[in-house]
Amino acid sequence: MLTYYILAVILLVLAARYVVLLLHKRKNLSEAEVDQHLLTLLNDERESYEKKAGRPVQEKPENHTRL
Amino acid sequence: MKKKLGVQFRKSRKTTHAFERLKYCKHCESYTVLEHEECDVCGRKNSFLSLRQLSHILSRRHFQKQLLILGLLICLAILSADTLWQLAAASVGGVVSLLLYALLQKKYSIYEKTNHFMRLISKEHDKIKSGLTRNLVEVNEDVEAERFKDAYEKIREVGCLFHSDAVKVCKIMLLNRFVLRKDMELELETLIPSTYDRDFIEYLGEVLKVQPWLLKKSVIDYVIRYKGNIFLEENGTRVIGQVAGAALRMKSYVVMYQDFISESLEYIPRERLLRLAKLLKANPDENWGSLREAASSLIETRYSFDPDFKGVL
Ligand SMILES: [Zn+2]
Repeated sequence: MLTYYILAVILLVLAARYVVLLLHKRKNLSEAEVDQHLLTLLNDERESYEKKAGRPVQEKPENHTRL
Repeated sequence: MKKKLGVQFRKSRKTTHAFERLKYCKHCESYTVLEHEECDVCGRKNSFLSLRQLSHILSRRHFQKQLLILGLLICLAILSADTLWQLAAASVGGVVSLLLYALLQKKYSIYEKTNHFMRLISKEHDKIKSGLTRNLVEVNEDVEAERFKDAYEKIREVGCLFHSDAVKVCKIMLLNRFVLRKDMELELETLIPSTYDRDFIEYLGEVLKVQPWLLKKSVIDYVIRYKGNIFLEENGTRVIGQVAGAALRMKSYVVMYQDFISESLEYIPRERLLRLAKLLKANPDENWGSLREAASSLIETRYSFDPDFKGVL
């Protein structure tokens, strides 16, 4: 009897996998969207990142070249 | 005035997406955009993966893990069979489920890969940021050691991912140290700061002398926004004239920015004014507003004895 239960579990696993893959397909992300997402993540929080670091990260070269 | 350096920049890699510039070290799990052969954190050679490769490896691992779970379940089903009928059912069920799994994978894995890639980016962006910040420290060291060319080549790479004003201003500072040439790989639109920056105006004046085609709408908009500040600069009127002159390269810009061009006519170089006059003459039906009158009156007062302008407008 256990065999049938396990086969049922396998069927459920496959069904779950199918649903997950279908959801991925529905999202249909492109590499351009991934790139945009990365740029947003890197640049949107820039201000807070600089504040956390206590100074703009490249303040030094800027000051130096201003000399 | 500081002496400008004559340099030859290394060719920058052309990529469709910015993430393609990132490299991941599989040993120390750090990121960089710089073109070093060895990792600047752990010192290992040939340890870099592109982000796409990393994402594919992670997707493959995910697939293998799921396959292993499925395989284990199938083995368990076979082992737990009490009768021959159950054994046959478990074996056939196992083969069918493996085939189904492979089919699903083949059909949809492409969508899953991109999703995994997106998730990877979300998870790793802090590490990517610290990698880029580390790269900027290297730029800083180059600037301090007066290796300005190296510094610019490095910050140019970082600037493809970091778009902050600080990066732009640093790039402008470095570019203002070089003699600009027509054959150089220069940038303009990507350097526009969010506020007024006199070094950008200095660079704008220099770059338009050698590559006027770099002038785009966003640059003209910036110049119009900060026209008052630019006029106060030493070479302000010259830069305004250059911008208005370079805008004449495209008829659509002349139509769009005719007020700006009209107001800047007196600073436009002679040869550009001649081009404007020819353009106005060639397109008599276009609505030029006050531009035509302003151009004719300037030509009349300043170039009435110039044979090139005879009968042009
Ligand atoms: Zn490393």
